[in-house]
Parts: sequence; C-alpha cells; structure tokens
Amino acid sequence: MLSMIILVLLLVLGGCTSAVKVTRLDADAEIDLSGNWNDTDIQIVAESLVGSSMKTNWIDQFRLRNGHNPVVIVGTILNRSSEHIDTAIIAKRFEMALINTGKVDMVADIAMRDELHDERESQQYFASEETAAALGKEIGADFILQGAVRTVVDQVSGKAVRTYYVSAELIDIETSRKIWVGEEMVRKFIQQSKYTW
Amino acid sequence: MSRRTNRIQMALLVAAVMAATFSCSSALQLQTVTLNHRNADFQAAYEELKILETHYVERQGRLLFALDAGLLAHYAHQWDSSNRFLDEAERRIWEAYTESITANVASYLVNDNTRAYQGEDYEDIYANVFKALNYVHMGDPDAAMVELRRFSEKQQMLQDKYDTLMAAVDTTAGRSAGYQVDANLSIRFSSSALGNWLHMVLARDSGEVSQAQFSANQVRQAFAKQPVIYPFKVPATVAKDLVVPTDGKVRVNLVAFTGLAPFKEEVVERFWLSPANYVKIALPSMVERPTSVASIDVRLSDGTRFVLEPMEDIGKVAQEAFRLKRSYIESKTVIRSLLKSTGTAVIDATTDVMSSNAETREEANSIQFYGTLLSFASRIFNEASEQADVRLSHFYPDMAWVGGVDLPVGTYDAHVVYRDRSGRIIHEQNLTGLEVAPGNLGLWESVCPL
Repeated sequence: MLSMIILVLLLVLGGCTSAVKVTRLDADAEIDLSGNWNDTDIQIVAESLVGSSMKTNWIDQFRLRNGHNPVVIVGTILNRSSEHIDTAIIAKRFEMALINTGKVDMVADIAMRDELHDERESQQYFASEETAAALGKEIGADFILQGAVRTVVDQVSGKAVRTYYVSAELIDIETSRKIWVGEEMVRKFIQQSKYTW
Repeated sequence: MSRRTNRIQMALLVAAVMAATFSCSSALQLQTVTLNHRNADFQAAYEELKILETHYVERQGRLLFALDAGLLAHYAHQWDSSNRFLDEAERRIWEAYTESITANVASYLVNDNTRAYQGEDYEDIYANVFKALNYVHMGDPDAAMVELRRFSEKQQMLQDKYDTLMAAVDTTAGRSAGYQVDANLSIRFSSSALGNWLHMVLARDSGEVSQAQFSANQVRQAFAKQPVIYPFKVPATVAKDLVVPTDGKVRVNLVAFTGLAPFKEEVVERFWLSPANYVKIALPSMVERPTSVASIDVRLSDGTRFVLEPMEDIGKVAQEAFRLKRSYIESKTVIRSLLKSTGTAVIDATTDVMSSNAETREEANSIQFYGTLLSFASRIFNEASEQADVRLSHFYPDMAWVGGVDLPVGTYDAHVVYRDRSGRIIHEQNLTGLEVAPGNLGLWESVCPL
C-alpha cells in the first residue's frame, strides 16, 4: 500500500517537470509566434527601404555636383507604434547597405557622438602628442536619415489586422530639402483560437 | 492483512487522493504584504510578496502574481522590475484568451479554479497605464507613449465590443421583440479616463498636439458614457492642461493613487438536504477597501498650492466587473453543488435499496459497508472540491486623483497632504528635486496606501 502511495505521488510530481529544447534556425526562417514585430519584419522593411533609396539617383547626382561621396549621418527613427520596437536595428541595416555601396560615406550616429567627443577630448590630455586625435577634423554630414514606425490595429475578439508603416527620409542638412522619402507597409492578420484541448 | 482491510485502505486512499486532487483552493494569505503596504512600506511589501511567490503561484497562478508584483514594485519605485512583471502579466492575459476545453468542462464538475485565470478587462488596461508611469519615472517618454498607444488599442477593442452588443440589442427588430438596451452593457468598463488623461499629458509634452486633443475628448467621453463608474465631475485640470501657459511657465501635472481596490474572499454556506446530506455553496464575495482619503492638496516649495480631484474610481470599476459576472457564477455554482449532492443522495438510496433486496444478511452488510464507503468518498469530494474562485489582483489602487498647475522654470519640492472626511491629515508625502523645464515631462506621482 505504501509503495502504491509513493508511486501515485511520483507520477503527480513527475508530471510537473519540463525540459528546455533549443534549435538553431536559418537566418531566413520566417517564424511568427505572437504576431508582434519581429526579425522577419525588420528584414522585409530594411530590404525594401534600402532598395527604394538606391533606385533614386541622389547619390550619383551628389557625386556629379560635388566630386565626392555624400556623407550621411543616421538620425532618429522614431517609434510611434504600440510596440517596443528597437528602431536602431532598422537604422543600422540602412547604414550597412549605404556603406556597402561604396558610394556613400557615413559618420558616427548622433547617439554615439558624445562618447567620441569625450574620447577625443581626453586624448588631448592623456595621449601622446603624436598619437592624439586632432580636434576640429570631423567630417560634416551632408544628409541626415530620419524615419518613424507607426502601427494601426483593427481588432475584435481573437482576430486582429496589425499594419506597420515604416517611413524613412533623407534630408539635406544645409537646405532641409528632402531628397528621398520611402515607406514600407507590413500587414499581418493575427488569429487566436478561443478554445484548445 | 485481510482482504477486507485492504479494501478499506484502498477506499480511503481513493478518497484522500480525490480530496487532494480536487481541493485546489485559490484562497491566499497576504496579510503581511497588505500590512506593509498599509504602513506605506512598499519595499517591504514587495519583498514579502516575492517571498510568498511559490505559495501565491500555486494558489492563484503566475498571471496574478505578476500583476501584484508589478504594482508593488511600482509603489516601491522599482520601475524596471515593475515593467518586467507587468509585461509578463500582459502576455499571460493575451495567452489566456485561448481557453482549455477540458479545463472548462472540469469547471462544471469540480470548481471554477480549474480554468486558467484570464484577467479582467480593467486589469489588462491598467497594466499599460502603470507601465507608462514606470517609463515616465525612468525618463523614457517614448516608451511611455508606446504603452499608452497599446492602452488605446485595447480600449478601442473594448468599445467596439460593447458598441456592437448595444447595437445588436437596440435594433428595430430587437425593440419590436421586446428587448431593451441592457443597462448592464452601458456600465461595462470600456474607457478609462485616467489612461486617456495620461495619454493627453504625455502627448502634450511630446509635442503630439492632435493626439493630446483626441485624448482630452476621450476623457470627457469616458465620463459622459459611463456615469455609474464616473459619478464625479471631470477634474478642472483637464480643461487647462492643453492651454499653452503664458509668461514662460510650464504646465505640470500630478497623479495620486489612494487606497486599494477590492479583493475577493470565499463565502461558504451549507444547506441540509437530509440529516446525512448537504449542499455546499462556496461563492466569491468582493471585500471593499475604500480609500479614507477625501481630499488631497499639494504645497510646492515656492508657496504655490493646488488641489487634486478624483479622476478614476478603480475600486468601482472592479466592483462593476464582478457584479456583471456574479449571477452567472452563482447559477453555475448552485447547479454544480446540487448535482454533486444529488450524486451522494443517489449512492445512499441505491445502497439502501440493494441492501434491503439482498438475499443474505452477510450480503446486505457487505453492500451497506461498500455503499457507506462510497458515500463517504463522495462527501469528501463534494466538500473538498467546492471552492470559490477568489482570483483577482490585490494591489491596484482604489482611487486615482489628478491636478495641475502652471509653474515658472525651476526645481521644486512638493508636499502632498492627504486628508480624510473630517479634514484630518492621514498621510503626507514629500516629492523632492522636481525639475520643471520646457521639453521635460511634466508629470509627478504620489501614492497613499490609505
């Protein structure tokens, strides 16, 4: 009888254990779990926006006019959505694509600049004269990249259509003229079952 | 050991296992946590709750623990921890939308605690409001706005849900069939004036003028559409919060939370069907913890004074949410309890009939013995399994108050004074080093546990 009680208890307790299983995924595998913004959306948006910006000939026009590559600084991509989206990832994708063309020069992001300034200033005191970075030699950017992510959600119980509007624009810093504006839309239909076994 | 002794042991084992399996009660002992909260020692309350985590999760589940821990962490100024807990609570509410059919069926046989707790609409909406406040304190207005947009989406969904229900009932066909717009629908909580007001204040400070104006209208609509939930006037600050101050002043707002919203406790009654059989009815009941605060005034270090006015009666929202479900819970509980007791009565009657029809005395005794054992096990099951579902968050405040003032740029200290109905000071809080500058978020917060 005692052994039977122990067996029942073991079965009850044993049923509560869980195991962790990890599987490596291909970078291009599309997996949606909650319907929220994810890496697939980032890829879709970044590829589309970068492609759109490359189609226009603003780079060539600038090089023809000025004889050197345009210098771009990454500004802020605002998150105006209802999800906590790290918009820096979109900006970084954009930056990589522009640099890899070999036709655009990028300068440090606004967010990184303070740290650079501090380091350069401290070198004036603590680094040797020959190796200290010179002051006043930063390259001024010609264009700033800005953008925003917005969401519109239409939902009823268990069903939702979630639309992300991701816009980006390149603005001439000197004239405030917008030389390129692009927008990519991602629409998702999210369905959640009311019942399960 | 005789065969008969083995059978007795087996029957008792079955009864004990049944009692252990089905007695899943959701009653919880949080007195020490509540006491610390009442003494305004929010850090101790938060720590105490974390110590009780295992006990809490066993009784009421992870969702409610996350909600309670998120709120206590907020009161304890643990903004990041609060957000992590409230994020988890929000995710679990979303996941709990999908109900288990087996758990639902079990709720008709055992008790309502077999179903996963889905969270009340107001618990879901206020989670975003408190997360927004956490981000305000962390100096991240963009993230706070994300939470308030999320709040707006949920609110829109609730409004659509109840508008559709109202429209369905209020059709020509519906009226001709004798149906009237259900008064219950009109008091369903679908719009939070507090959440909209916060959205308005943050949108104003973030330069999103049209959003701020939209949210201001939503505040007024929440009061107009839900008079049962908002029996007081729209706070005077709402009309002034979007007016651009003159003389270089900056608009600053203060939100205060007082008291604790109601919690649920079990009320048990037993009705005797026969000298040997009874029906156990275990129902949840709301225990109010109304705030003692009747007025709040704020004195600033430069001598400026202003008062706070009621913006949201969260306790009333919780009461209404429960009131609308109560008749369903009561009917279900009574039917289930009666069925269980009827089962016991059937066992007793069958035992009596079979033993009276037995051919020998020994056979009659044997039937009587096993029948009694089965009846005993059935009674244990009935008694142990009939448990009220008392799951509900415990630490949402009872009332939210708001106020506002135009101030010159500078650094201020604020002394927030809470008074009861007789004008006696029952709680005070000092807020220090409050920066007032254009472009800063002009939103302060104070909490009174009473």
